[in-house]
Amino acid sequence: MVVSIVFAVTSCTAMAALYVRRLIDERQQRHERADDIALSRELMAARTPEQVDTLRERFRSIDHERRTRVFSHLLQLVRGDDHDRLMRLADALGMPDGAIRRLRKGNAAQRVDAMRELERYPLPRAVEALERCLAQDRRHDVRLEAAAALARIGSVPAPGVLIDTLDLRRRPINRLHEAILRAGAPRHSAELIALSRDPATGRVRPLLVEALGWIGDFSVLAVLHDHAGDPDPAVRAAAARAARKLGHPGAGSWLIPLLLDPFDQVRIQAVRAAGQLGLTQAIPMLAALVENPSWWVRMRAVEALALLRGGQPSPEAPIGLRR
Amino acid sequence: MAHILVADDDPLLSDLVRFRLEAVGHRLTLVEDGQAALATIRADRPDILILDAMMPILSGQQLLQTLKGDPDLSAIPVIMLTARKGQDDIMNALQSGADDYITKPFLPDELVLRIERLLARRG
Amino acid sequence: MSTASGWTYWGQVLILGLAWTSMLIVIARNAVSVLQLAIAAWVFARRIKPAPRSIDLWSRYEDLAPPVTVVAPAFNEELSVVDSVKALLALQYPDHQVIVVNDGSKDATLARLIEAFGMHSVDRQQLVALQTTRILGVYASPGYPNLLVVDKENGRKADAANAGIGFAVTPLVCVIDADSIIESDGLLRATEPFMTDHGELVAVGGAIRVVNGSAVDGGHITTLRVSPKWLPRFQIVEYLRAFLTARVANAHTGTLLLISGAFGIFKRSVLVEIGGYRHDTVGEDLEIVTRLHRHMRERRQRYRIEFVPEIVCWTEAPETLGGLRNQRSRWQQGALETLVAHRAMIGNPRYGRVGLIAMPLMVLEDVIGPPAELIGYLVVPVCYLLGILEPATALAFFSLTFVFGTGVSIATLALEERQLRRTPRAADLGRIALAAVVENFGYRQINLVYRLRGFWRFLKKDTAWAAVPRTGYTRADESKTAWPLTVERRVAEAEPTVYERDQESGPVGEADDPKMSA
Repeated sequence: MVVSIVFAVTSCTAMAALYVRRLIDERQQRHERADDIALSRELMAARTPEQVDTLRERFRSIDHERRTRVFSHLLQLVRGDDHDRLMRLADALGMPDGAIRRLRKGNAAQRVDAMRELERYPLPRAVEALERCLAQDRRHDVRLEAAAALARIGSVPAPGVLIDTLDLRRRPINRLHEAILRAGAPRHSAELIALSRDPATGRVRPLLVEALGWIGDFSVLAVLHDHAGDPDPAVRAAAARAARKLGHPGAGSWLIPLLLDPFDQVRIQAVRAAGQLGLTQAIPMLAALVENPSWWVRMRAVEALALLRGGQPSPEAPIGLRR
Repeated sequence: MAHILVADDDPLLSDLVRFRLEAVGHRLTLVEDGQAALATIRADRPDILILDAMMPILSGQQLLQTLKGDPDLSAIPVIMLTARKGQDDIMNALQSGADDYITKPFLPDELVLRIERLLARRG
Repeated sequence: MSTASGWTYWGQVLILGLAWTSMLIVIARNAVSVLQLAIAAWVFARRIKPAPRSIDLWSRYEDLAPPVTVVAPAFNEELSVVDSVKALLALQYPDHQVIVVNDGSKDATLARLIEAFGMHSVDRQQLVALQTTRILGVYASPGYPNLLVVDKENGRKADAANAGIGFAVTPLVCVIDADSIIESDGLLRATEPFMTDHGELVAVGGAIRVVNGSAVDGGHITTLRVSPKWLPRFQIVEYLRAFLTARVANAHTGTLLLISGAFGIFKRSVLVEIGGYRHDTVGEDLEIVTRLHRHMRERRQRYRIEFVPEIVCWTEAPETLGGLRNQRSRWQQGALETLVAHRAMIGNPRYGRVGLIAMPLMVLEDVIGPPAELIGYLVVPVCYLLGILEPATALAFFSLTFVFGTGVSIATLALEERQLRRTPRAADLGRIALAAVVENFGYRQINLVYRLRGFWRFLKKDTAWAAVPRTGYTRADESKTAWPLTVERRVAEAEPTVYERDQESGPVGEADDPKMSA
């Protein structure tokens, strides 16, 4: 009985405290929005060193949460000169310093919170702190978050570093890994091409081949052509996917043979690429694939034909139960 | 100069746009959802609309389709200013009749120039 | 010793035994709630918060977001169906399809859809037929390429959902209720766990809240408010307790048995493997998750079922006692049906923690808990009046039921306020807190009575259940988890992709080392 009452009284007290906090917050909120807008105008207008000094003074009286909120919001909205100027301002005002300190202590959730704050100010010292975390943090999921944060701010480490720090040769591969490798493709194209040819990368290789499609340079088509003849079907499928992403019909010469690949996963990717790239020369083969034993090949073939024949109705029946 | 309607649920963004455009002499009306935008458009006939794709109640994309389907309103130029960068989003917006498509983060000066150009084209 | 006094003696022993048994059961239930609360508080404190990462990365790499089909069954929804479908089409997600299943509506539901979206009949076939009723037609629209309307004979929600699942070709399906209002980023939030999954995740549930009192327009919530009526307010407290403590704790410990029918994301291939929903139970949402566990464990496959505590969806709670009675007795009946159908799992170590913890807890919560508490209310005062129970003990029982319950509810609300803060205003927070206290005096007891009615409905229906005709099906043998389906009705498995994770998860041991080859 005593336990019940103590428990109930404790929870009610905690709740009452939260209620009061909420009431106070609500009172403040009415002013907050106007203040946020005023603060954002000041940030946008601060150009001279004197203005920056005034702003630094003013920042002392504003709580960290609000400062961060307005600052990072503005950074997300603008590009170009305005963005660069805001970044210099963030540097001068020491915006990322607290988060850099917090990145080294606390539990995993707190370290990740610090990372989220840090990625709003992609200054060199913030990037360094994230890279250190990626290399050294003891938890894999925290390292993965660090890699994702670096990817979001356009500072992904080289694929070789990612493979090692994220332990990709041994660990199961997920979508986030894929996204991070893609994000680094334009930045590390030479290393990516070299690694995609390196058999030592093992089961990471299909991911690397697919990431080639995100380099954004058609010269990579020749590399993909080589991969289209790879003995590993996952690599061939990845090459077809990369070709679809690149969108260059020059891939047609080696994509069309892949339509006859013995593996479903390769045929499916080849079919989708053929449709996307507008390879009209593939129409007869695609029409034959509409009779393929694999349901998925049939469906993708019908989709591709619809794309190639420009909206002409295609037979839907082959992709259903009734056959 | 011109009367411009900004429909976006992000007050900081609207204020930023207002700040820049008022500086070059335009008159701004700010609303936070698609429904309010539609009401204002019907009542006030702004010269240019700047719409966010993701807004409460009536999304920018839906609003765009409504406007371009209405012979009375279809002539008002529409600039989509949105965080959606997907190919489909851009294609859909342009196919539905958007006159321009700007993704966030954006260059405030570019927005000003594009508005001038649309106004000039209208004469 | 005379016979009469012998009777009295045995009578007293019996009644005292009853009182103590019900007290022990009530203590056990409260202990479970406190444990769940503690686990949930721990999970919230330590969890890595969902990142802007999914929204950001998925907007950059659209093809990484696993395509989702939202399956929305509709029965007599002519007034709201067009708005609901517009809202579903407008959900933030890089790649989603919407399949509306018109479950033999008697009104103009289908006509409204055809007219509003310019739909015309198409020859689209199912991948797999999981439904028992006939499909009457399929409609598509050139203007809305990701919308499909399926018209079928009337069945139940389970049958309509199954028909829709049969048309889905995406790796994930999201099954909702016709009146669910999905948060605009609900799909993104609920699929976020798939970002770091490598093929083990089979289902994800999300937090659902009560919409009553809020203004809804065109399938969207325009102003969030707490209902002025008491009945929905009590249910807000209940939903908070269920979604913020019980589900979070269960998912964390791998014992989550229920993903609400109002919103649940499943891996399509696994749903097809187990034959979709059963249409002979009123608790199909509970049954299917239980069967998923059973299926995966019997196949010895690694799997995970996750829960996202962020709000994904809003639902209408009954505002009258009659509606509440129906809902609660239906839930109770569904729980009993599921327990009976899967009784072989209860306490069975073969099913790991699901068999040893989750199922016995369900027995405690849904079979012996409600009658025990009701009996306690009757018997404890009697014992006290007869002088065979110490006043302190009797008082302890009542403080346990009334005061302790208040404690748990208030603590849950405090957890919500600290972690999620989705209550619109301080005034609303106060109203909910008040409801959390008042709830224990009357509302809770009424629900117990309604649940007893569910027992009664279960017993009445039990014979009828066995007699449900299964024409067209081969009855699978008892040990199989798949809802009976003939082989030729189960055509499609997952689409082969570059990586194995989107296909079926491998057996234990191999899942850590997925090979990239076919």
